[in-house]
Amino acid sequence: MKRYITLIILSVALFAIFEAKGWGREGHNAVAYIAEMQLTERAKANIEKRIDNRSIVYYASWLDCHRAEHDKWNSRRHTCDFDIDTFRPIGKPIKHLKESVEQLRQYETLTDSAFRFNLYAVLHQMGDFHCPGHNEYHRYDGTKYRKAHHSKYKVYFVERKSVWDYHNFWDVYVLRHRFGSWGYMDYGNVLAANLPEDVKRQLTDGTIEDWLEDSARRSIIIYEQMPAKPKNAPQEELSVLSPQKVNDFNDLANDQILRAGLRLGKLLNELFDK
Amino acid sequence: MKRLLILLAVLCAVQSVKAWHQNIHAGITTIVDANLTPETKAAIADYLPNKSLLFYANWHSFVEKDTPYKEAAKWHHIAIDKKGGIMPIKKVVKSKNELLSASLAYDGLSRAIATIQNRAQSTKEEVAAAICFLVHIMADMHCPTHYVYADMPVEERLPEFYLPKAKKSENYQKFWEYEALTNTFNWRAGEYCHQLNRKTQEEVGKLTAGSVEEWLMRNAEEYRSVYRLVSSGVRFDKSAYRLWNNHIYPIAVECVTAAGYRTAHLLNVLFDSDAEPIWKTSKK
Repeated sequence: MKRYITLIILSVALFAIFEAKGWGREGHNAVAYIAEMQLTERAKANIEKRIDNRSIVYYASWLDCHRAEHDKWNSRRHTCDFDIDTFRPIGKPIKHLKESVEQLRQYETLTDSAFRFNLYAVLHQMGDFHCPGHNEYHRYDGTKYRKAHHSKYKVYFVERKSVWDYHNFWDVYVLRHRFGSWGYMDYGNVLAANLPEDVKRQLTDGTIEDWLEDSARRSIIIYEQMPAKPKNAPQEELSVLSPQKVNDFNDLANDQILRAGLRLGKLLNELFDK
Repeated sequence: MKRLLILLAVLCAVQSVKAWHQNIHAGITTIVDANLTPETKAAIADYLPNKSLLFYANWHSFVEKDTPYKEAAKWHHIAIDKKGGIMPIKKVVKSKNELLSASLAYDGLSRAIATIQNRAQSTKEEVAAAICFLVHIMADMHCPTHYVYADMPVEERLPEFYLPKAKKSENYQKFWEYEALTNTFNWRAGEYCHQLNRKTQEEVGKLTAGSVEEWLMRNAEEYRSVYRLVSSGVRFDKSAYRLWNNHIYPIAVECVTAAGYRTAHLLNVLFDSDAEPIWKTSKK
């Protein structure tokens, strides 16, 4: 019994080590695979010949795994900042993402390491910036932006009968709630394979900022419905993550995965279908 | 006394954990399947009708407890002698080292190959079993910790290390059979093929050059260094564990990839009459 409990604790510990960084691997893989499904043959070939003939899915979580190896890699945010009134992305996250996109516009001139870093960053950040739990909202008070919403607070998770970190729920559990056994190909087949072209066009219309504004507008409900409570609030005063909310948030998460993947695919085609 | 306890712990590890994780075996088999010639596929289907090889990816582990296949329980590890060569089976069986004497994968593989070569003299069930054993053993022969080196001390062969904040140690063999790859990639079976079945013809040619024995000896030489990647008693913090895994997973990826391509090549040679034989050693 003691060994069994130890095994569970170790498994949970391992989970925490590897999963608390944006969507978990499933989410990032799903986003990248849906993007790959949208690529033209030429874009796919132009990308893959620079990354050892590997799929972009292989590198979807690279920024999470390798971030500690280099200051530059570690400087990239995995959360996106938004103005709570306009829902437009602000600050360094969108600035860095766009820098990487601009670098990739001249991808033929980039060194191998510059190409890889910027590609991996775009692959990863497009995923992360569509994760509702990674959207942070700021209110401008006339002189500076102040944080209004972020997901690093405690909630009461009914199904688990315990207090959870809300950010962790969005990183790890929200996708696995219904489809824990799915791989990335399952997400691709279920969410994107039969999507009509006009729906794809509608979801990918606009600029990167427009996409992220759409993401921010859709995601703010996770804070409106689950308001943060003071740090030392007792369990009974915490916002409650009910089974219904988990189902609703799972719907939102899957929809965000789809949007992220389609938009990433469109962006990569724009950059590499030359 | 300490050495005896370590040996007992290691024996328990060997007995209880015997192969890549089921998922990884399945993944390797999808790469195999994708690289079989149509002739080989048709020939195999004659012995394993109505189901793909994937269905049988872990059959070996399922049946080794059954009386007819009990000896297959010792077909997961390979014994390497002090000169780096594959230890002759007679020597393995007679070894007083219990780890070595349980490392008869080369025997199992040789017998499976022989059965398939002489399939006209075997029953369909025997050939079917041989195919399943071959696929599984070839996969295991690309797991670094399935190589038992006669000259490697027990403590060096199976170092125990500690995860962040863990009180109990992790077993290195177990780690290689699952976490070495899945700490970074948690692919499902078909996704292994999507990810790894991407080598060029030239790369596959280099990978599959030589005989089966030569592959195994190349592996034995390369995998020895895997045991130097961690020291016994190391206690990782969160960041160090991730960094360490970043060194490990590319090795695991190449192991799994090689397993898929080589197994397919072996099956193609055995079943497709147009292919050249490669199981005979090229050394005289």
